[in-house]
Amino acid sequence: MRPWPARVEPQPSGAPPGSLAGTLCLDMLLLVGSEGEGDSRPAAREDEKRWRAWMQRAQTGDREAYSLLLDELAAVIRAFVRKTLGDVPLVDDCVQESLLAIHDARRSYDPRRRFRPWMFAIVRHKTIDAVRRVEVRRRHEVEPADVAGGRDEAPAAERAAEARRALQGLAEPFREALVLTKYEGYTIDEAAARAGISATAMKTRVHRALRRVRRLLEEQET
Amino acid sequence: MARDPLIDRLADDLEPVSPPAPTAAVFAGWLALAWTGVVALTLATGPLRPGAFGQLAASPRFLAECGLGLLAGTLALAAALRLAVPGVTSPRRAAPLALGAFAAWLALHLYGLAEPALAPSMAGKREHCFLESLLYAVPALGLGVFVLRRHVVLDRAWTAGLLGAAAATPPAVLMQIACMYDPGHVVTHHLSAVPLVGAAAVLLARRILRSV
Repeated sequence: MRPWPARVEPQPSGAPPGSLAGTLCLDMLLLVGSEGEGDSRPAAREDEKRWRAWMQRAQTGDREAYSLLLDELAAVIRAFVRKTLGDVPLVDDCVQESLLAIHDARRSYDPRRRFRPWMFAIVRHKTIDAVRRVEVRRRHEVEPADVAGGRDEAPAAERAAEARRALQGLAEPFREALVLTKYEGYTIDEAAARAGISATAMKTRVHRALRRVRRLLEEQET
Repeated sequence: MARDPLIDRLADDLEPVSPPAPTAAVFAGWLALAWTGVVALTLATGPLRPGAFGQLAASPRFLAECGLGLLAGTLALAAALRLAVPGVTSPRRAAPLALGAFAAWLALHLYGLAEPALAPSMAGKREHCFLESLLYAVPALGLGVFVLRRHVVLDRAWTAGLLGAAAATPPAVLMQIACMYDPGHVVTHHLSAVPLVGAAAVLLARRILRSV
């Protein structure tokens, strides 16, 4: 039986993202370094050894080792994000974004180095990204009413126009992925079949398209 | 708990990849190639200042001015390469040493405005030394970007900025012995390329470096 990973224990009382406490929490993360990377407990050392071996095998194309690695990492990342942000809806997004980022970055992992700091640096980066997006979205929703004192009654129409503009700014494959899955309501598999690509590629396109749209909206905001 | 289907999809998508080269090898290789290239370009476009090597031996301050530049560029490169590996360091830890060396390098030349290390002279003046300092940094920067192409860089602005500064240092240091010596001229025509190339690299960071 596989040993259970030395998890970061969840703390349900974490600060909500976007709050001052949440921001301070992120600043602390940046200053102090990543959770668990300097962990010298035997269980953490075991995790390190196992994960590094699995990642090395994954780099050679071993899918079984990669599945085992991602399974354990998903649980650890979830606990880490919960501990950092609290039990918020953002957690699932952070876990998925982190797994995709680890997948994209796997060729940059040097097996001569420790795995935990590499992995937690990526997870921290994605978590901070996600919180910043929430912060920007929240400002976007609150500020017009504050400034206009209720005068601006049509922010939804304005936001829809901005979203349309952002959508137009996407490359065709990414626009198609978003239109199929978010506007026309196809599942990932159905959308993949329609686009003639694998489901994984469609999932990746949707994630990247969403990320790009968020960035475009943030740029419009600033 | 149900397994995330994303994991199965990512595992299905898995293809073999080769891990990156060791940082120490990249560091040594970049220094060797960048310096060789800059020396070759500098010599191809004009001679070194007559008596420059004698001045290096005769004036410890002039030697320090050149040595500090060499040190600052090397530290900037080391910081950039370490920053390019997730989890190794952060800009707060990596950058101060290199920035401190650059500040000391500049300070030494600013002190030289009042007390020059060598007697200022027009001997060896190159007509386009500022342009040369900028242009010779480009291949070195390109080389750095090339070797970092397989990395995911989490802090692209700092990494690119330090890489740009490191790339602009060899031409700036070489101009110390290739072009005329006057501390004011050195600051405005040679050293100024370092922050300029660093800033340009920061502006281009999102285009030249890959992140997640």
